[in-house]
Amino acid sequence: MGDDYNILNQIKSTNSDTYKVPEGYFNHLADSILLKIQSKNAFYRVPNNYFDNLSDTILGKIKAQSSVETCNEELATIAPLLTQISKKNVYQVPENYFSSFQVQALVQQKPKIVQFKFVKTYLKYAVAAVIVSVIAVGGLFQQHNTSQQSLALHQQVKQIDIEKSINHISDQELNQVLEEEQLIAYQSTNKSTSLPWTNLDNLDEELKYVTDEEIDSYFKENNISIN
Amino acid sequence: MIQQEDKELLILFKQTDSKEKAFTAIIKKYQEKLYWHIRRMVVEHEDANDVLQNMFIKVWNGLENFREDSQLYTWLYRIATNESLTFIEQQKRKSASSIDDEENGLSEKVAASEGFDVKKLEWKLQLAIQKLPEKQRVVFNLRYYDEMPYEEMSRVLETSEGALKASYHHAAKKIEDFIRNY
Repeated sequence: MGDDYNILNQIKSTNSDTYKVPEGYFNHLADSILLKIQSKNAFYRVPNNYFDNLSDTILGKIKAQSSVETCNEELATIAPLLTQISKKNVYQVPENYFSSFQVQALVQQKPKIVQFKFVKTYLKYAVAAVIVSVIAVGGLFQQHNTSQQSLALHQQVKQIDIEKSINHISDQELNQVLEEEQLIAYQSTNKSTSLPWTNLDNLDEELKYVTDEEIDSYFKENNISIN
Repeated sequence: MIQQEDKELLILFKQTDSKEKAFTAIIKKYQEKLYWHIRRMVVEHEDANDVLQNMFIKVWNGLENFREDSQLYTWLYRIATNESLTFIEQQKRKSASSIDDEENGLSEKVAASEGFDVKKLEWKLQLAIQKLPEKQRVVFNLRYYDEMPYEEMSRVLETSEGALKASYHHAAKKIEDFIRNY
């Protein structure tokens, strides 16, 4: 009895905190627990309208599930042999096909940059007039050194009234000229809209036989405004 | 009602800065299902790839006008089906062959496929499927492989459920007979 009492007193006299606790542990315990709770909740985000659509989603899955069961039951009724066949895909697919799949046309598509050169109105009319003049007289000026007929025509065409000049020229003569000469067309900066005629480079060469006075007079007589 | 995820993708698609990202997400989500649906129709991988490419180009061009009165995948399946049938039609015209020859042509493609084994039921099934008329082939594939409800299938193919059911039953019986006798 005496020994027991001594043992008991010895136990009581020792430090009751046999296990060590980090300093300040209890001071910060509440805060650290709250922090953990908050950080856990931060990962649990719910998509917008999740609960609004939840019932429809679940019903859809139930329907799909019942459809699968119905498919199998249906097949067992109409063609039991087919229920014994595996539905795995038998055709081979190149490796990484799905992981690397891209819509090629969209990948290669680059925005088309269409450059428009806005031609001022007067330039448009000037060019139109040039085209008419050149078609009518260009071939004639080319010919005038070699053809007496062309010379005669050239003399006539020197008169300002081009329309009247053309009236004096027979269809046969005009056809002959046009067949022998290249047609010159105005070519826009965008080659895709260019007319099928070519040889724009000769335009300057052709125009040097048409004077400015002739062009101006043509504008006036045909009421073409260049402003 | 359209699935929520698809609805969000559609919203993103309609915004310029997220259009491509949304489109990529749609491709990733549906490409395999659509590919196999097409592949079972046209048999060869190169052809299936071409049809799938064309199909997604149409999706890119038309998705903004998608009315959301059906599921997105219903609309995608419809485009894939139409593109597959159009492709098959073009192949027919190119070869200037009869319908019978076209069936044989696809059967030949099946037989020429890598890993083909005429003793295996799965391959006999493929041969049998190619014997079906095109639209019946579509119905069979959608029901048998994709396990698509008749209700959805009627929206994809714009045909009544009754007609689809009858078509599927008829197709399944024909295939079973073919496999038994092959």
